Amino acid sequence: MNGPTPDDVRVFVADFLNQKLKDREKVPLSDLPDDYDVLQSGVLDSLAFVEMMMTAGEHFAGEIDFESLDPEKMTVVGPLCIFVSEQLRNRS
Amino acid sequence: MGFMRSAERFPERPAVIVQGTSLSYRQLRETAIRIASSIQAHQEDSWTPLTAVFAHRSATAFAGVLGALLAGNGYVPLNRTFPVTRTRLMFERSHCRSIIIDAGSLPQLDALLDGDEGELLIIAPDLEDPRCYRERWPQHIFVGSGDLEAYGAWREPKLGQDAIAYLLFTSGSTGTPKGVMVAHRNVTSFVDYIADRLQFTERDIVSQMFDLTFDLSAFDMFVSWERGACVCCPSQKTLINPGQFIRDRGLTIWFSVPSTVSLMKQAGLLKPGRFPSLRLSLFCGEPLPVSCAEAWLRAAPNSILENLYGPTELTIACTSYRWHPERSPGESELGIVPIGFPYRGMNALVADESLNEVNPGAEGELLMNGPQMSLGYWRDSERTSSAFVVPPGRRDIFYRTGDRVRRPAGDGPLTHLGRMDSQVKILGHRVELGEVEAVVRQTSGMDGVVAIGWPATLSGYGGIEVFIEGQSVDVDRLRSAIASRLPDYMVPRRWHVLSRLPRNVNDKFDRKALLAILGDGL
Repeated sequence: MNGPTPDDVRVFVADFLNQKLKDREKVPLSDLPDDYDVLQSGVLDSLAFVEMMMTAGEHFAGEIDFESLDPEKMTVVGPLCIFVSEQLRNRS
Repeated sequence: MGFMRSAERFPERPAVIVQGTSLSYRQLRETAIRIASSIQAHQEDSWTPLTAVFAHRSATAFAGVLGALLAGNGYVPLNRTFPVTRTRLMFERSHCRSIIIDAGSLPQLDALLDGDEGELLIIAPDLEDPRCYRERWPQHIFVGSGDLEAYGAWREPKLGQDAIAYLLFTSGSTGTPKGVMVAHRNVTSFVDYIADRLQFTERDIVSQMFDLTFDLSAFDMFVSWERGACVCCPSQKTLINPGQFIRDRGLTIWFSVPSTVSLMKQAGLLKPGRFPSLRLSLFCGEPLPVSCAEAWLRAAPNSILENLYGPTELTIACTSYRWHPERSPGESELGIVPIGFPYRGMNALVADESLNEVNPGAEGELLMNGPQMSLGYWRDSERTSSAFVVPPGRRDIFYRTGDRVRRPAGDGPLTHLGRMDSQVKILGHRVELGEVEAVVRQTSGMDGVVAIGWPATLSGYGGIEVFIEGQSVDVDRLRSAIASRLPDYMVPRRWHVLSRLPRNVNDKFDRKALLAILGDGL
């Protein structure tokens, strides 16, 4: 099965967040904990989250099915990385 | 007030669903009245009849709005997702002496109150024990959940002809936001008309996508509560999958900015037939692309779609256009759905630069008046008199919208063609570029600053880019300082420092030349 692993997705997410953080001169996230909530932390709002998911699809040359995304869980880094990895591996 | 009538008729029906909890009309009325009674118990005659509502997507936000109104005050929405310096500026300019605050906004209270010398009434219905706040701020009155006045202490207020329902701050060109005074009579005129025309009923479940600081939130609340409908407020998390929100809650009425549709379309969330529960879909706040309207209707096949238009100064919305699958593509211009026809009692005048009416079929600035025309800008007669004018040969005051429209040649709809001035739409938010420039100028100490909306999108602009005339500018420091003063959508995405900015023959900064620079991919 091809496609990114959860760790690959984690690197992508960290890069995306660091870009946002860098724009606002906040502390870069070199180590992203599993329970880090990208919405509650205030780094992303809901629109930026959707932008990140679409960018992930482009980055890994795959398609993410937003319909199956559970908003209550998917803004937390650990479940998010597994979800994106599974989505892209199943469709590659 | 429509809410009170609905609370009598439908006490056990849900008035609002927020933070996953449903509050009935009876429950919401009780909390709102106890808040109102608490304001009435402490308010002094010398106080400005306004109450700030510093709350965000919470039960206290809705009870607070109603509580302020039931006390006889207008409400002033404050938003904790804005930089606190901006929130404080709005609060100071409003001269409110009472605040209703929810639990999520309490951490910003110190920054809001710092330096305020006078006595304030601070009502925190989510706070069980306010003792630590009383110790920290002994000059202010703190009312926690256990201190709210009794339900029976409430006295129905007597409102004057021009009593303010809400004071809403919008972007201003001098670097400070301006407060639009919307009167009860403005809101009543709007609500009476629209609730009838759209046939809201107690069985409707209505989306609440707008923050209180966006005046379209007033539509969701007041039109729904007029008829006993339920306002359904999603959390920030729920907003990342609006499609699931529509289905899970069984929404019957949807109201959002068109940008949300565009995003859902890109994310593949507008699959045909996905939203059969919707009977009505409304869009407002920015131009609605035809492609978005068509995609939405494929996903919501049982829905009527209307495109609404209206600046805050004309109370929520003042024209609308109902989509017709055969006729509407031909009536649309530049790929944008028309803004339609004025509401009952509202008059439209399409005028040239001298404010004389243009010929049918010609384009010009849209001026409007009627029962929804607001009172003007709070304590700012200069800006009020420049925006609310009597055109030549007329006797009535009209509000200059600053929007460029085409006057219908026959009995067709008004079509929106863009802005007359430097106001732009960024992700549905109205932004005065002059305000961004003013803040950059103040922060950088540089005089030559030009902000430009870029890149152009069907619904406005994707963001703002700024040009600064100078040699050595610490852009990183500047960006950080600006981000603490402006909401995210107003913070420039890219910064260009040039030794000299291009100027036109009148020695004014040449925006067209700067646009060309951006087009060349600087």
